[in-house]
Amino acid sequence: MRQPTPASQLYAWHRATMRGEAPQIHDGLPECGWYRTRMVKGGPWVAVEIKIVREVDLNTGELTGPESVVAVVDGQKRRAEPLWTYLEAISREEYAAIIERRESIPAMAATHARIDLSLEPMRP
Amino acid sequence: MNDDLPDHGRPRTDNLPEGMTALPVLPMAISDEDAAIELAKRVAAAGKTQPEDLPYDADKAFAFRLRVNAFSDAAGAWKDIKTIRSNEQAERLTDFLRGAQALSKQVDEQRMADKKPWNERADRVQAVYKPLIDTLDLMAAWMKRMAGDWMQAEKERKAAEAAAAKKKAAEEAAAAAAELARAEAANDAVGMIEAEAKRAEAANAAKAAEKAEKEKTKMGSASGGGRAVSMRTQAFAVIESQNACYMHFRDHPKVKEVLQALADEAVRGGNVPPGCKRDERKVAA
Repeated sequence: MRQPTPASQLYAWHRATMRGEAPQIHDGLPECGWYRTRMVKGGPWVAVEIKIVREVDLNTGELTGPESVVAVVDGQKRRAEPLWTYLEAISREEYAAIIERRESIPAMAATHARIDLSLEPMRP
Repeated sequence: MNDDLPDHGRPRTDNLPEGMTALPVLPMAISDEDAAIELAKRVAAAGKTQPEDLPYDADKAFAFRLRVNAFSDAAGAWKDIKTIRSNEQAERLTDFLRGAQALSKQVDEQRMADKKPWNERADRVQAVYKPLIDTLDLMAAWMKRMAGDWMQAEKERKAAEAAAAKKKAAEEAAAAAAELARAEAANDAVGMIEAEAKRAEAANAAKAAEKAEKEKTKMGSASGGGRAVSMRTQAFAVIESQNACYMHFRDHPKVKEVLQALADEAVRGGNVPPGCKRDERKVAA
């Protein structure tokens, strides 16, 4: 009988970071939250969400399997551990803004290519 | 060719009907070859037929011009909003600035690449001619020093000669005056006339010595083809009191610039000079 980990606990590290408390980062132990990173040097910001994937019995509310941490990068699920130390914590609003910004800045869609800001001027 | 024609290419005027005048002579038909040559000459005379040989890559320059125009247009849009109102706008402005800086760097790199062969050619020209000019300038400097020494010595010699001549003239004038007085006392008319003549001669000698002393010392041309070399008086200041001199010039803009530059250098090196304090300002970079 295992209870799912509550959201307050899952996102405690991220909340502490957003408050400016600088909690410790442990390699290989990703924390749930919203982040940004670059896939290549000089590349565009890529929004990353680290979340828990688990199966819960709706009747009992208990876990039916192990909880696993995954990263959702550009709509794709990936292992979070290799990415963890390259991520920069951001607020949920900023996460949404990065995703929305890709529509107004087409160059951001090429996540594995350096952005050449000299090709097209950024407009207000 | 005209010899084959009945009238040798010229209209006859002696066999025209009454009332008619000679018609103008039309130019003879020319061959296609001659026509092509004539056409080429006229085209060449009208202007250049080959594209101008430009000293830069015209295609790349044109492409950069288009990109710079796009940035100028975007800069106009930024100026229209006047102030930044959100963090997202500020981040977009950062991207615009970085893009403009990157483009500027690319344009400058192309400029240097296009200019490089011309710089190399200019350097080769300089390498040939500069040593020659430097050698001549150095030789002229040596010779001018030598000429200066000579003219200074000449000037001193002439001054000494003039002083001696003046002294002699003064002595002769005094002797003539004494002789005149003696002749007058003795009612010696001949003596008086001679003494007067000697006094006049002494006065002329004094004048000549005065003139020789004032004459400018110069070195003439041996062949006549060169301009004379003479001494030129150059005034310069001898600073006897640095403090007094500084107080006189302290409000001069150049003095303030030098002081500011020296004080900035000292402060950035960690020392605050007397009369100054350290301050900081933020600039976008």
